[in-house]
Amino acid sequence: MENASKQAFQNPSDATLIQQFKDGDGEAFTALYHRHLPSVYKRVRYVVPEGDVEDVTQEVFIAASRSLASFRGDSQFGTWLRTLTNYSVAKFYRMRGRKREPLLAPLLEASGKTEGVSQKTLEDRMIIQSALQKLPDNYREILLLRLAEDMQFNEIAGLLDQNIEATKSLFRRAVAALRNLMEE
Amino acid sequence: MDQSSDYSNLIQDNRLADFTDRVMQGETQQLESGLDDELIGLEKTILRLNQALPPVSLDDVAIKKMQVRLNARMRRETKEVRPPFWKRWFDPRSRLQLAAAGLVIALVALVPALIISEPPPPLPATALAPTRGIAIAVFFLLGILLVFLWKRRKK
Repeated sequence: MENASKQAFQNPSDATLIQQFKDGDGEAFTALYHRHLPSVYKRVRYVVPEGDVEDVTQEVFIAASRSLASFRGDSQFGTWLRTLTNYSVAKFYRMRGRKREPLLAPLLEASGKTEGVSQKTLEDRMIIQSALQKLPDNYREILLLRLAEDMQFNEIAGLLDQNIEATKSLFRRAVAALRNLMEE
Repeated sequence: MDQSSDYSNLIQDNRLADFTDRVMQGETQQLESGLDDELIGLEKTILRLNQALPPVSLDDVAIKKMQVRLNARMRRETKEVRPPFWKRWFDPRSRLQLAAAGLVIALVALVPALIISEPPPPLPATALAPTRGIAIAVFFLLGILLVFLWKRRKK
């Protein structure tokens, strides 16, 4: 019991941190940032060119800090942040006019910011990211959860509120759809 | 869709999921599905994704550096994003400041006018007349108040 309360004090839940932030504690947002940055960063990195990953990640947390006061806790904070991340990525492509033609992005510009990555890998990333943008939302989401955020299938099933067989089936169909788009 | 097709899909679902788990854990980088062309194609896609975008992990140092840059950007954007003048005009705090400033200006204009319009003393003045002395004191205090308000506004 004592250990549990000690742990809750040392490692407060998202809901506690959000309430502390609403009460004016700026450090609470820093704790949320440290906790959720890796998953946001990995998700953004999977869908946005390397040179823009940190910029878009920052956009997500700036938007989060501005609208956290109105977060009512109807969904988990992680789910809310994922929605915000998807919105920021969509905004990025809308603003750059790249959503339909990400391959038009100059390769040299991208390679300047990604030392140690071969030209072929960069081209492959662009093909993958372009295909991901064309996927239906539910296909893209499950691929990002498993491959970008490295969530296990049982965790994804819990998050999507479906059984693990349905989750694995959705994953296989999503990979098949992505493969078709990548080969176009 | 018949039962055998359902069963076949179920097997493919599980095999691809297991293969993905092993690739993500770094346990394999090779195709594993012998003769199933469909599954081979899907496994190739997983490997291609893994090669182009291998899993990354952010260490504490990287997170702290990114946080410093985020904080700098947030500070910069807070400075840059000033509300339009009409919003500032209707902001209650601004209205209070404006009202105070207006009051001070009005009084500053009024006191010299009172001094000028005051009738000359009947006798040659040996010292400042009492009303004139009060007016100057008020004028002086208002000056201090004005400076104080101006300094507060600058903060």
